[in-house]
Amino acid sequence: MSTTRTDTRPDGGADAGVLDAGPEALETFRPGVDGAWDRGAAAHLARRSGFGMPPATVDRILEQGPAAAESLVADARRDGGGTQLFDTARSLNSIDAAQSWWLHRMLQGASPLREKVALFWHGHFATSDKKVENPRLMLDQIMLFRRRGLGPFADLVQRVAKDPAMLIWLDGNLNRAGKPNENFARELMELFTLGIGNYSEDDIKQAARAFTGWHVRGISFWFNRRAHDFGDKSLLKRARVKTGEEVVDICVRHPASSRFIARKLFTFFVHPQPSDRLTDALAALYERSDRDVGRYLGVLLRSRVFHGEDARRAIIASPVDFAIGTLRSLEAGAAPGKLAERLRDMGQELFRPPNVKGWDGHRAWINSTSLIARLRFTLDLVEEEPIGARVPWDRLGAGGSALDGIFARCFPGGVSADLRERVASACGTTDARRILASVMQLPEYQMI
Amino acid sequence: MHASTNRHSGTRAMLPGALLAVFLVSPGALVAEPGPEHWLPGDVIGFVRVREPAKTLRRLLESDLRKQVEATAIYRHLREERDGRKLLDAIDDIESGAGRDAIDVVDDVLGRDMIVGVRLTFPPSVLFIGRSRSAAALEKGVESLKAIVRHKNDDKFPRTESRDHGGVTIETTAGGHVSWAVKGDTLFISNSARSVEDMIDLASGKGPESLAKSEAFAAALEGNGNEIATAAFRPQFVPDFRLPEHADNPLGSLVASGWLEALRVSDLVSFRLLHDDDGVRLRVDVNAKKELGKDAASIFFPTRGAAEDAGELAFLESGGLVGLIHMRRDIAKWWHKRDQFLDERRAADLLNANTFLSIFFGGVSFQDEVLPELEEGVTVVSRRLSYDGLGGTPQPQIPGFAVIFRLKESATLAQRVSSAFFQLITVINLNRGQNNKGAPFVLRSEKVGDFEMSVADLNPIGREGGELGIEYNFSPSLSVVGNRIVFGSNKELVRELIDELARKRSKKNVDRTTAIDAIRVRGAELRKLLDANLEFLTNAIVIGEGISADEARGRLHAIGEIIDFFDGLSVTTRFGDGAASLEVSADMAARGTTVRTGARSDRARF
Amino acid sequence: MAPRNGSNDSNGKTTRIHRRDFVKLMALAATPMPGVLLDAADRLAGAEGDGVLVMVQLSGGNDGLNSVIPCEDPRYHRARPSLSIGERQALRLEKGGPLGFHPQMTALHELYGEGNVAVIEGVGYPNPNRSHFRSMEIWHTAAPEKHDVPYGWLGRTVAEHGVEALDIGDSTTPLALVAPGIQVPVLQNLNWLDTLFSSKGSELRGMLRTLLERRRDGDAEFLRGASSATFTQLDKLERIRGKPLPVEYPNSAIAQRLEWTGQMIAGGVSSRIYYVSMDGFDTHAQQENAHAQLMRQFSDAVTAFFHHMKRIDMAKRVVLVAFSEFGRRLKENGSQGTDHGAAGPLWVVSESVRGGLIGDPPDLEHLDQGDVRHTIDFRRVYATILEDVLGVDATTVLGRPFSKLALLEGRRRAAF
Repeated sequence: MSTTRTDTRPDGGADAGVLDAGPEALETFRPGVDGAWDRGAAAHLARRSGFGMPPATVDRILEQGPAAAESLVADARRDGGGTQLFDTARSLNSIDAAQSWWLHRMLQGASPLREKVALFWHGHFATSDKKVENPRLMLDQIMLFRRRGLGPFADLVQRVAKDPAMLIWLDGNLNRAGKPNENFARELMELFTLGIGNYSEDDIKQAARAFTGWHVRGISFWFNRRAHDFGDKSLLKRARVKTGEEVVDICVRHPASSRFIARKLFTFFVHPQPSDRLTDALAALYERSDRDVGRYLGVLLRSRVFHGEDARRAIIASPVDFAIGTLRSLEAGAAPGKLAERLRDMGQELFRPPNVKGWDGHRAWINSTSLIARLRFTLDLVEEEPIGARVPWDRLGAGGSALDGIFARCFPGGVSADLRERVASACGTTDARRILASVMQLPEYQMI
Repeated sequence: MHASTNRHSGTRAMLPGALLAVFLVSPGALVAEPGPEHWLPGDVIGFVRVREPAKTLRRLLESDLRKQVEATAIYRHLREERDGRKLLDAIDDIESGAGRDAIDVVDDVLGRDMIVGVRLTFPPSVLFIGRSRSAAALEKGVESLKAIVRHKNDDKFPRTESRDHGGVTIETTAGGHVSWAVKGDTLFISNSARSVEDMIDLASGKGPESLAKSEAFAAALEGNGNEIATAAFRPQFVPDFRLPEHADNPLGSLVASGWLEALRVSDLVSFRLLHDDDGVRLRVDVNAKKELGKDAASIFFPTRGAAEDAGELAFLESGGLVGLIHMRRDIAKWWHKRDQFLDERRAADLLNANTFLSIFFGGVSFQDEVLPELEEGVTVVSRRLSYDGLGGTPQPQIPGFAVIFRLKESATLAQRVSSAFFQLITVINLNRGQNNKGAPFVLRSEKVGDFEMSVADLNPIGREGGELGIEYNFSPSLSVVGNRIVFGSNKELVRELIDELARKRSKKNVDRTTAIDAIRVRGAELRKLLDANLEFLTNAIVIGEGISADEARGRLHAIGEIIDFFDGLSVTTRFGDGAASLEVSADMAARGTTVRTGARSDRARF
Repeated sequence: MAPRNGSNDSNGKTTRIHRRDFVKLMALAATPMPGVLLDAADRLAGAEGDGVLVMVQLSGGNDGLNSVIPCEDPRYHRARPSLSIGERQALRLEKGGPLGFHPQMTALHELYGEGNVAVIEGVGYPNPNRSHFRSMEIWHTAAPEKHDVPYGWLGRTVAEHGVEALDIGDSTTPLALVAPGIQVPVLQNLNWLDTLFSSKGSELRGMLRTLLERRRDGDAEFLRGASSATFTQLDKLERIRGKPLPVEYPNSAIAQRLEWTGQMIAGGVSSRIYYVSMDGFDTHAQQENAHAQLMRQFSDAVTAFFHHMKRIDMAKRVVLVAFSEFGRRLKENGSQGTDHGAAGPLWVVSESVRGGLIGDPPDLEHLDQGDVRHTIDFRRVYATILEDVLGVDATTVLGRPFSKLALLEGRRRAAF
């Protein structure tokens, strides 16, 4: 069966409406002028800069105003401190432990944005333990995303190019002088920096030569001089290129890369479909930010377009958003060791993206099986025991009806009276479990 | 901690602790006398008899052990937990109804003993006999019971009908659902008036055959003065008493299928809680009239070569022993007869495993040419490691495991086992090497005394400074010591075992027991292991379960407390003269006091 | 819509087109008209009428020569002194014919006699690779000449043509199902579905029906549509799970997986590709009993599955294809086993299959380094499946055209 799509966008979904705007949309959001600064706006920033809407976070953001975006970025850039749990996961060297550790960070870590950014890069530089088969190296890669994910993009790519997990993932050791393996060079251009159509096959061949001898020995990067092609390479209109580092540098400074990265970050954090005009503005902003991801994101997250009506609840929740977000919004605990499997069933197994392209996200999250898995997760959550959840039901019902309590957590910005009415008539106003289970299935809720 | 001046609440405070401690102390000697089994009809399908229940309870409540139990976090948790509270509330209810301490009521009614039986009528009838020390005491006790009923029932006692049966008044209430009678110092209760009549008849020297005279239960009632309680049932009459036809786990089958087969042919299973100088012990008798199948007997209770491998237990228990399992099974025959013991799918798995393992053994059939070469004794031993020479200790610390087989003829198979070991390591290396990660294991051999040990050591290339991951617990090693094969997870343990096996052989100090199975677990070593991994395990629990570090530490502490109570646990199976016996005993070490208890299940005759 | 193969014949076809047009019209009438609605409606309509593929992977390299046995060939008996199966034991494909099934495959042999099984002989690819990993990779990617192809042939079908797929029983997605950007779901077992069928689950679905109101905007409406469709599937599945199965499946891992697959199909789940694996075929040593057992399990499980499909009237639409990454050497090794070989037979089981032998009996005279040469490129089988079962343009998946086999013609037309 061949399906016709009225408009296909790169992530494989159908057109849900392009968001068009010019450079002015990226200017700072002015409360009262461009829109209201209220609980809804604060919750929007909480959802996008982290997972869910924990009341305390929403309160804090509300108080700080739109500038909270910058302090969130600053918090995420700070080194997370204690690595005891990380060391334990690393020592265990099992994928279960690795997944649990990261989920634990997402659930309880001080900076959800740090984890969200790492998750973005995990999907971008999508490396899977299925091939790497070394949970420690996978953990190290995630740690790299957590520590460097909000810094200069060039620095990040330079480190990723020498990351042992990445080298294994894209066959670094097979890349030898005279017998180059193009795997890494191709993905560097196609998926990591430039995007398809912005380079030639010859560019890839030349770049591959520059990365010859970038090997991994034991579990560390090793520059194997004997396998390196020291000759001159010319690519992307540059001659006499010698090293892999130079190639990375050329790629990240290429104008195509600015559009590619600025747009991809935008689709993850703001809206799935920026217009070409908006993408131009984004690329310009990104370059003005010196291609520093944190600076770019800080501006983006307090921009007019971010706080505009069109961006609100415009992204289909990923399984991580859905599961971790709900738990955090409810201030509920859960056993990370039991969440990884549920996320896999929903279509997002951490440390195991489907392939080098990462998760397409958006509409690709949704199919009958993944929806069944979301439904099951919901039942497990209200049942608590299957995922070791600890939901503060008392607090949800406190100060009025359970319906009010849950709506306050799930829709801090308010919701149409009609929807509230319908939920009330379907589930009543007192049984918190029933109400929560229903709310979690609403399309309104599964859009973040 | 919660001692109370209120006399009524004394029991309330003490009972939960007593329940926990119930297996941990022994009561004083009891005097044998004609038991209540003479008054219980012989057609029951099972019974429970308890001697001097009130006295036993009192002893428990007064023991030191109670304080120790009450001091544990688990106990405190149980007290707070819903079921624990329910129990306390129920005792409260009883005491406020009776207006006196619950134990005193029990003492009045059951001063001597009690027996409960079940008759398979429709609906099933439950028969109860309680014997007091005197008619006067019983009368007082019954009054208290009635007071409790009234208390629970808005100060009214339900409508009761009385009638006479052979000079004894039978009272029936609750719409005919409860009948009781008092005859002298004895109280009869049943949900069937007919059964109360039968018990009165028996007490008057009339009526049906009594339990005491029943041939079917004779084995369970053999006189024993130092009994605390006895229970027995006839499996073939118990509705829905079904044993699984097949095991779905090969290891489980190898361990337990023999006992399942024994239970299958048994016509009486009895349990006796006894005490003697060593402490309290539980005996479980599985009596059988039919014979145990020949296959089952020869596979699970083989007798050949018993003396030698049993003797090895002595030295295997030395050092930092954490646990040890020694089993004697005819594995080759079990494998061959797998359809008899395993479900279809697991049996099929073994066939597939045969193909796979045959590859490792150089193409010879694993089931037909390797397994039959093994003697019947297999020992698995686990000890803590010292990590000498590793330059650090790995996190977490995992004890070493080793399995020891004995060969019928050492020469040919030993060669094959060695090459299988090399192949295994090579395959692992190839597998890991496929992603250019370098071979993790370096194969080498070293000399331990007169014996050669093959070691697969971790490749140092992968190691980072100082940090030792979980894999540093492993250095798979193999050695052939005479006619024994020692295969272990760590060279350190295998080295020790080679040394001990060699010395053992020269001393010829063989304990001539006839153990079929022997299991030992050492609490103290387990505790050391737990302590060594405490921080690591805390972190692992935090990551896995999402709870706080304090909560995780609390859980580990509770596990430690349980371990602390058990100094050692041992299970031994013996076989001889066509009878198999199982003996379980646990050494208790509670904060310095050692109370020895034994649970013993004995003599299944086939 | 892209033109479909064989889309212009038979009555069944006409009704389907009618239904599809009807759904389209309905969609057009809706205001506003999101493209996705069209898409979703189209998918649902498609799911009701198209073929369903059940791919059975026999992992480890099945010994084709002892599965479909050239029992008359003296070279076979000479090469396998301890493993050959005699001409009297083999279950002949046709009386006096050169080939016979393994003696344990009585059930499948019976189905064969009824014309519901096609055996495709000599399937493989040029320059056979005898590594499990590489050969499986070739079968999964359908790209023998390329390395590091990240996506599988069925994964590409999923991504390019919107066909839903499901792996049942594996722990991770097999490469064949790896799709660009979409994680093809893996259901390790179906038992957890029962959570959804508990009273709580049913109640929840009941409530949600009243809550899921049609939205205006694109993505939320997309979510709502998908949820509604899922609930409908769950309702069907629940009815099926609650009922005893119409056939009894034997007790084996493969039977369990096919049973779950059967339940999903019976439950009206919209997946049209199911992938199940069976392990244990790497019989290097002591092969005889183990292989006999595998053959019996395979034959009994597939036969039970076929009867299940027949009872629910799906035996014509469901096509089961069983393959292995390679066959095994003609000559047995010194361990009463066989080593990795090259071409082997494939089984195709369906009521719409053209039963019988496709291809020629293995030519044991002209071997390729001791192995049976391939006479049919496996991609011809794929092309046939893609076009005649799944109804997609095979070239878009395989990269270039391959001539189809006469596997489903004739009978399939009547079926749709």
